[in-house]
Amino acid sequence: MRSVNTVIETIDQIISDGVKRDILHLYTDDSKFGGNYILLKGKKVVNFGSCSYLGLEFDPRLKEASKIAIDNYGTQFSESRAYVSIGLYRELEELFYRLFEAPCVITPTTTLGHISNIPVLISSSDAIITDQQVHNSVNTAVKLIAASGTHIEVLRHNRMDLLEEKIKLLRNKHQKIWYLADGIYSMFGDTAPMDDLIRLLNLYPQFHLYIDDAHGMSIHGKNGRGSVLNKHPFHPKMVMATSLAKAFATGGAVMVYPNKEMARRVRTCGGPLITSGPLQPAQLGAAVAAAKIHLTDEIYTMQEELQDRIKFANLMLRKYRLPVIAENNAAVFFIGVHLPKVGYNMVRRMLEAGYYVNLGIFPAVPMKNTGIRFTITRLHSFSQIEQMIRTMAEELPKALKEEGICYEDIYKAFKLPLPEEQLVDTEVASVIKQALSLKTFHYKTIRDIPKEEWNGIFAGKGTFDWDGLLLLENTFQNNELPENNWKFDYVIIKDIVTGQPVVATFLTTALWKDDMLSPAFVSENVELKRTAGDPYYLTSNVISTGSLLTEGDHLFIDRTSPYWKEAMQLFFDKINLLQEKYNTNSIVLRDFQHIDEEFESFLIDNGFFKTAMPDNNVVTDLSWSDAEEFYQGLSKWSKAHFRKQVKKYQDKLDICIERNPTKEDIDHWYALYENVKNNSLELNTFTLPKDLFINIANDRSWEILTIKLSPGTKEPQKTVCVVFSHIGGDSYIPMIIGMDYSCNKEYKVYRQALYQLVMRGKMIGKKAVHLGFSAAIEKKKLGAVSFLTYAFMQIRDSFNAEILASMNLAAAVS
Amino acid sequence: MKLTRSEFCQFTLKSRLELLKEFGENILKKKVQMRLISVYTIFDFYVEVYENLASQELERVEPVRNIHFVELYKRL
Repeated sequence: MRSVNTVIETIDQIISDGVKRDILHLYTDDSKFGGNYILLKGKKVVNFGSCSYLGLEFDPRLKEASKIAIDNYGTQFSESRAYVSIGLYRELEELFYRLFEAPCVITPTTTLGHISNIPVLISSSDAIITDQQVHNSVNTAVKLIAASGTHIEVLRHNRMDLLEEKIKLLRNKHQKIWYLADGIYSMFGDTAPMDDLIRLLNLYPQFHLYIDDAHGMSIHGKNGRGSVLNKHPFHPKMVMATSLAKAFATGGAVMVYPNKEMARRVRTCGGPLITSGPLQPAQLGAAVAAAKIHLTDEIYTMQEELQDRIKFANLMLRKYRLPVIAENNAAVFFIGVHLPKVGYNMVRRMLEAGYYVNLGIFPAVPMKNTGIRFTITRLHSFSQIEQMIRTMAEELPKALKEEGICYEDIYKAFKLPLPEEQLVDTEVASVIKQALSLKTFHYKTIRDIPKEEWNGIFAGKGTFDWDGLLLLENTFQNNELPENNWKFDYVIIKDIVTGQPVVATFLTTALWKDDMLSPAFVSENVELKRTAGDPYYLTSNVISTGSLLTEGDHLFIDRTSPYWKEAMQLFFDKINLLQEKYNTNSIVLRDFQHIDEEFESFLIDNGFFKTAMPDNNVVTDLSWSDAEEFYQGLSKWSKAHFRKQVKKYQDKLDICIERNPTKEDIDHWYALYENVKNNSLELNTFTLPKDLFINIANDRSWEILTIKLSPGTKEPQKTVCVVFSHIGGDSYIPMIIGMDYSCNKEYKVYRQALYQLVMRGKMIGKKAVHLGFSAAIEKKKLGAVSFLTYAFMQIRDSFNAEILASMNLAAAVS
Repeated sequence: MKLTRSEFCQFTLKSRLELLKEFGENILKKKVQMRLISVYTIFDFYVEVYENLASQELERVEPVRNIHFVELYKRL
């Protein structure tokens, strides 16, 4: 649940930031609209955010029909359509039947249309494949049927080759395979590959298409049927949902079916059509008038006028060399700006210059794919379009400079080739950055950094002092398996005047399991696929502060320095370069425990989103002097637990600190570790290499605590638990545990281990004992405090995350 | 920002006329029989426009290469 909450928190933060900056949640101040101007915060601006692409909302015929409907039927007709519908509905349905030449059902919104359709049309024996970028409203309806056991998968956006592969795989297992997509995608304005989809519909009898053409309605096709039906007739295995709240200009939605029976079934059984309210007279009256216009040749003149404006906008965007993400003939345009902070900056600048444009931001697009989304309508004059695009071209370099970003960053973020003319800009940005009073030092090995310098920054902060890192470098290089070969990068950014570090960290680049933090039931499913022959299924290269084997305060930032933000920008530059070099999918800044608002905003502005890590459990109070005093300090409930679960078994278990272990010892301990690893999917990682255990055994910064069965037990001297702990700093940090589960029930070995670790930390004079992630309740009983721990991430390609989310959903509801 | 002649010709006649009115300058307007003939300069070329006054239809909105035709129109 925490990961869900952190997504909501991130959305809250981003949107609230936009609200504070007066660019989101705005209200118009006009007492009356006329044309495409609106009054925002007292300023008259040209509206480039309207989806009423044909400008029909001001058509006198629609307005008059709306007024007449109110005069005749009142402001509402408040009855469920399961009982009675106002007569205008019949008229409108007949008009839509003529318009689409197919049976239709009218719904109050497109979202309610999907909720009516999907649970009725798709059964548990079917499979659903959703396009990665299908509209959120379609996914909302899919969630409703996940519980019925319908197979659900996500397809990489518009990849018809992969879709065909999936159809081939699924066609013998499922009655129908439904692909859910948009006709025109609402953010980037790109379109579904209809030619390919029609080919697949014709080729595979099991394949069906469910398509939302909200942004294509009216502006394309015969009678304004939309982009999906622009070049192809209605396919008998297709269901189409389309909106009346965009170019059609009346509100509402219409669902179109290949046959009358399907329409009848949805009309009869669709949830919102039974229990929700209908479209009201004013909307119905306007919709009848709009439909009549669509059935005349006038619609083609309107379409032509809009298409000319779209063509003109595309020409201007090319001439002004703006980073357009997908050029097409839709009325939606997206100019990449890379990070949220540039997006905020640009929308503000455009407003000041007299143009309202949308901010395209997370969660609608990935964080690093923030952009300016604008729409063109038939009401825009050519000069308005030219002036708006010219203004954008003039303001973007200023916004980029102000936020320390260059064009190259934008093109990289959207995986687009950098136009030649932008190379100069990159050089200028580089010169500007060098002029700062900061210098970046980058090392490939800890050996190149003076020990005292590194330990001066990081000693006592975790398991990554100079010696600890040397051990990791020696272990995780030159191995056979890719997951055991890590790349190490050390970054120190210094104030060149004082010579002091402002930002410092070490980074590892490694192969991670994408389900590392997923619920165990999701990892179980993923592991099945891995063991079935695809060991690297859902794995990605990740560049992260710290490593998979360290915990603590990995990122040093001197917040007292006036240059800390500039230093962080240089750090982001470096990490972005490394991401390019190593071709990693994600950047993870991890193990943050106390985050203030300024720091969180700063990271989000720079394209990171916050995600919860498992809570870290630490025994911070070691002020007691002996075991008895420790016991007395426990709560009444914990005392009882301690007596029954720990104390009772103490004389059956011997505690040893191991020195100079043999090869056989290490083999046995490794087997115990593998037991734990294979039993724990809560934090699903690759199995650590045995060399690590050998290296730890020979390192004085670590110690090995074992628990053996005492004489008098059934297997005296048998080692049933081993814990490898880092002892280099002020804290006692157990990092790896191994156990013989066959003895755990009889001797409560795990609880004994936790207790003995606390005792050991105290005995050797440490200030705290870090008991790590998971099993928080067990650890709390021994006095541990849970600390909320967060990571900040950037993901280039969220496809694997979306697959995991769909697996999570399917498993959680079934 | 300039459009080239070929880019200008990608638009419908109605849009071309709008472009002329928004970005161009009218340098000649003359009624010849039932036609209104106009000449505009826009970007770096000339465009002649024929509007049929009887049918209210746009008959021609085309770039022209030879400037001397303006003088010819004036003499009509």
